[in-house]
Amino acid sequence: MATKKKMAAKKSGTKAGVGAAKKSGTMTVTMAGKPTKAAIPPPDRVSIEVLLSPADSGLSPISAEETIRFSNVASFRPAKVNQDKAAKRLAELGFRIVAASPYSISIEGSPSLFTRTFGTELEVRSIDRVQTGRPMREKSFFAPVAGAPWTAPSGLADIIERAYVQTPAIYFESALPPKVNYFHLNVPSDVAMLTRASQAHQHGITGKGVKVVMIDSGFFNHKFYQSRGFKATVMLGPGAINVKRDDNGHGTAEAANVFATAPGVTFTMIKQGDNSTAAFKAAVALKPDIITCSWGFDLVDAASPNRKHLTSVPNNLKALELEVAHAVASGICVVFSAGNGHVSFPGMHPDVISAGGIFVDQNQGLTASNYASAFDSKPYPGRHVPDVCGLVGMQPHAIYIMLPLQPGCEIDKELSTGGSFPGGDETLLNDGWSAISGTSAAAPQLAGICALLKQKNPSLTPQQIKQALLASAVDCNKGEANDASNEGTALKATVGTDGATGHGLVDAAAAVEIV
Amino acid sequence: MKSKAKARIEAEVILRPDNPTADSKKAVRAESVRQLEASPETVQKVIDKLQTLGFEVTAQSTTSVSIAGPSALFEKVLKANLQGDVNQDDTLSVPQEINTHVEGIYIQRPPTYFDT
Repeated sequence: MATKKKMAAKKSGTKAGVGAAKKSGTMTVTMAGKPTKAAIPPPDRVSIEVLLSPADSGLSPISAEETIRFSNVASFRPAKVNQDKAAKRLAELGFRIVAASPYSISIEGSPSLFTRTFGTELEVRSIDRVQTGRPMREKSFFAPVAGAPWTAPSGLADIIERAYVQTPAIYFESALPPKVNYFHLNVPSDVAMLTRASQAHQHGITGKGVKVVMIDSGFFNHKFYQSRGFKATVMLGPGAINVKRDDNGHGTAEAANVFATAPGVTFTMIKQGDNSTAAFKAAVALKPDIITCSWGFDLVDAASPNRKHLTSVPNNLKALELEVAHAVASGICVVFSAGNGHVSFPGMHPDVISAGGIFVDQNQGLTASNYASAFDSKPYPGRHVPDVCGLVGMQPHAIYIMLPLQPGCEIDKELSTGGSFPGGDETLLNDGWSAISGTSAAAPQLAGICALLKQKNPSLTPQQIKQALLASAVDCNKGEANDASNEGTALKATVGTDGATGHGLVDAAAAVEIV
Repeated sequence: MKSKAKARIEAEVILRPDNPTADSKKAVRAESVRQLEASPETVQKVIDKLQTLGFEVTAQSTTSVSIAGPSALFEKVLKANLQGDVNQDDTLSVPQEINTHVEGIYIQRPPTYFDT
């Protein structure tokens, strides 16, 4: 809370100490605290909090000596009539009223409207890099010039205390996941334990020296990664922009599954644009050992009842088919998600490892995920999806693995608004964590385990890696897969190799043992 | 129309192998994909022509070339009909100068992420 002394200084302040100013219309903009060229430009509107003057007490929320608490907050309450009057006058002046409470009114307007109305100055600043702890996310914004004059406009002088331009919040995402009240898995510990990757890690098999490339929505350097020493190189695929951001959140989250099973890998994220084939080519050009992809295309006739499967790969995906086959022919092990009710391509391509889903409960019981796809491919007769499974949650939303992502990204917001589990994940909309899974999680888990095998035996071919995973998987004989992936009929898990889970849950320690 | 003209379109140009011994229209596997590769000279010839026509070449391989450009360029040069749904099996019009080296040109769409 601002003290009286500080506010008095602000109210009587001068321009002394402010950097060289240049005039921009009627608004004075200085470049003190100048952002770098890479900074995101400031928005064309400023958010302002207008503090209302209390009604009778004579107290000021700004100059009060005592802190404002529940016990005394009522004495700062303005008269209702003044609140209405202030809102009306602010609207007349051209501001947009976005929220109101008994104590303040939230408004928006252009920077020039603000400086003109309140006879003050703004400058462009950026969030201090030291504050954020990382040289990314630099964002510029308008902020008051220190010591600049300030005057309440007519009609407001007696009823408002002050109007403050609001500055953007700094993300304080935690390296640790939030606490939620339902069964879920954490990374890296739970995923490493249940895939039995942790046993391999104990013997020094961590994927060290093995190059894994993920093609996805991007990578945000979350504190989860920083604090554990997990490093990612991020490259822009054709058509992608902004290498430091992951506004969707998917790639940042799924990368944690790679590090959970293979913490020692050399990891590269290719942020893809709208052409996945071009991004795949960029991945192949890096000559990695493993490529992992948690996405695909749904090969169904969407207009048909029960989502009838297509019988061939559409021509617009032939280039991707060629690239996938070419990558495997070049010795790259390629892992794709089987889909979440999707009839996924390239997840159905015979040369890839197709990653399905098994749910492991609190008692370590295995059930086929009814969220994950399982089907026989029509374009590739004899090909069954999936080959083997990773850890995936159950319907309705597969909320299962608490994963880090860019605070406030699309996934962070989406799941936090679904209410209690299983409708939502009970995390905050900008805390940088979401409990998600789907076969998007399974593919990178398997990719990490492929890296363990490759470290143990660098001469392994993609086919040998796949065979090792299949031969060592743990059987799952309960549950059924997502019926949407199989024309309305869910494939069931049975004893031995089955339709729902293929060869079962991946077992990293057993796979490492046999290569 | 103004915003449409600004839209960026991405496409894959599938190359014809110089000496085809496999059918690219059939399922392509790792063991047969080498038979579908075009020579470096063919790849370069196609790239040169596409760039001359104004397209940005964003990636390349021995089997395809990735291109991008404004929608107006695709409409004008490759006769793309961008109104409504684009049939995923329909090739755009291949420029005559490279049609012996190009199997087809297909507009790309973004994938689905298989998360929650």
